[in-house]
Formats: sequence, C-alpha cells, structure tokens
Amino acid sequence: MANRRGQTEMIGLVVIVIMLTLGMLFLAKFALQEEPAKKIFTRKGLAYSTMSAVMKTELECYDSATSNDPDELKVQADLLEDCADVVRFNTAGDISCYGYDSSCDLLEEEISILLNATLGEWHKEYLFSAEVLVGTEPLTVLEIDSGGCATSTERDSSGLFPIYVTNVGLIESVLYICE
Amino acid sequence: MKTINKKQQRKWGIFPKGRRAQMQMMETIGVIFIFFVLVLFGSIFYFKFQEISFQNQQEELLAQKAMDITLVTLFLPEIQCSQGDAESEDNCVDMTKVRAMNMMMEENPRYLTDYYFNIFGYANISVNMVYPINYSWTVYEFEKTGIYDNGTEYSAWDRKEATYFVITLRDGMQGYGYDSAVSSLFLGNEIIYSFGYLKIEVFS
Repeated sequence: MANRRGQTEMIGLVVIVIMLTLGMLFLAKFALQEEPAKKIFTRKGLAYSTMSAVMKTELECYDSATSNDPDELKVQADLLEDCADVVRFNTAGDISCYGYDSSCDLLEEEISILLNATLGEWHKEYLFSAEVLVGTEPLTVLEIDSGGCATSTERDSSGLFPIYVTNVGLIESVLYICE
Repeated sequence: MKTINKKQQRKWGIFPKGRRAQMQMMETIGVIFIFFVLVLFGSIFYFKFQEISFQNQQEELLAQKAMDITLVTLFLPEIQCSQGDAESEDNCVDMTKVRAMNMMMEENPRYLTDYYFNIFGYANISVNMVYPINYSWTVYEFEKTGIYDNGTEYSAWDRKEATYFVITLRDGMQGYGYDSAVSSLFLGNEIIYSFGYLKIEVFS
C-alpha cells in the first residue's frame, strides 16, 4: 500500500516537472526570438537611401560674406574628391567656401546637420565614413559618428559608394545605421 | 499489552480509521486545489500572451502597410524623378511634380477619393525638405475620421504608424523668376539636388 502511494506521488512530481519544463521552454522561445527580418530590411533600405541622398545633395558654397549667389557643389562629385585630395596630399584644396577652412570642414559640418535632422531625429545612431585607398592602407578622409555605432553588432550598412579620382585613388564611402 | 490513551494517539499520529480517511480526503483536495491554481496561472499567462501577440501582429501589419505605401510612393510616376525616356532615378522626388500634385489635390479633392484612396487608403504622405531650407509639402492626406451627431469630426483611428525614408529632392525650377533687366520671366535650366525625407503615416 505504501509502495503504491509512493508511486502516485512520483507521478505527480513528474507531472509538475514536465509542466515547469514546458513553461521554461515557452518563455525561452519568446525571450530568444530573433529580430524580425522586415526591421533589418527597413534599416538597410534606410541606410542605402540616406547615403544615396547625401551623395547626390548639392551643398551651398559662398565665396564671401557678402555673396548672394552660392555655388552648388555636389557632395560626392565635387567636395569628397577635393577633401580626399586635401587629406592625401596635405594641401589647401581647390574649393574654398566662406566660413570653412576646407572642403573637409564644410562636408563634416553639413553632413552632420543632414544626418542629425533625419536619422538623429528618428533616434537612430549612425556612422558615416569615407576612406581613400592608398596602396593597402586606407586613409580616413571623413568620419562622422553619432556615438555607439562603431562597436554595435546590430548595425546595417548602406554598402560601399566608391568613386575613383585620378591622382588621388579610390574613395569608398559607407554609412552604418544602428538602433 | 499496554493500552494508550487518546492524547497519546494524537501525539503519535495514530487516528481512528474514519479520521484517517478524512485526512486523506483533505490531502487530495489540497493537491487538486494546487493543480487548479497552476492551471489558472497557466491560462492567465497564455491568454495574456495571446492578447500581446495579437496586438504585436496588428502593429506588424500596420508597419507592413506603411512599408508598402512607402514603396508605392517612391515609385509613383506622379512624383518620381524622370528624364524623358531614360530610367528614373532611385530614391528621388521631382519637386516640380510634387508642387503640381500638391496643387492638383487642393483644387480637385475628388481625385483623392476616387483614385488615390484606392492606392494609399487611410494615410498621410508628405515630402519634407531638410536642406537647404526646412519645408514640407503634403502629397496626400486622408485621415480616418468619424462624425459626431452634432456634425463635428473626430479622429477614428486606433493606431498610427509613421515611416520615414530619406530621399533626394530634384528641383529644376530653382532658377525660375523675374528678370527686371529684360522685364521678362526666366527659367533657369540648372537642376538642383536637395536633401529631404518622405514621411508616411498610416492609420488603422
């Protein structure tokens, strides 16, 4: 009789253990759920479209404080080329805009404003980087970091936006967006 | 043989037969009670989870809808950058077309209900310029509203999902103006690329 009761208690114990295990598995399934693929796609798409828009944007460059008619300079085609030249050969560059030391100065300030007004407003961290490939060593031309994106593992890239500039080399720009 | 009194029986856990059955009954009731409490907790947890899961699903559907509308808007011929028969530019909006569409929607609200509502549904779409100036143009506006008995309108949506997409704004009308020297209008052929974003809000 005592043996029978022991058996029944054992079964009860096993049922409780099974229920607890199922509960744990249920919890673990939702706790370890992966990031939805759509969210990653959206971030990737946003990184690409932002980079593409930044590269095409024309920034205003005034000759002097009294000038009313600014020159419109393309980020990728004019300013980045000139900035790479400034960084690579340590020259003053061909582009001179009122209020800025060089094209690099203008790029850094204006791209920061553009990214802050969009990605920054939407609470997204970003890292914009442009490098010129000289031999095997990449030389940093421009780096704008909102903070926290350089080491983040959950980040998506716009992909490389390369341009080749004669006498300077290959300039590769990339934008990373992270949460 | 030594007999023991009732006090000693209680002390050593020796009960009469009827009393022992009562104790076992109590034990069984206790076990069943605990079992039902566990089942109740499980059920509460499950239904709570189902409720959250349903809400998440609704949110995901709305986000999906916002994403779909964003893609439709990006490739909408009415505002997309084009150059004759050449392939249209990616992530680019022609400001001349945007201004024309904005004007058309204001002048002919029937286009909104008869044609564009079938494409976008309850949504707000605006093109926002960030550089060189901050400005916004509404391309489409159709908020889900209801009407009270007294005739006043109210917002009839439960959820709103906003999606943003950074775009290039191409403007070929920047050189448009009046030249006083020759007393005539001029149209500059210079195309300017500005920076902005598309804001899409969907309602459910």
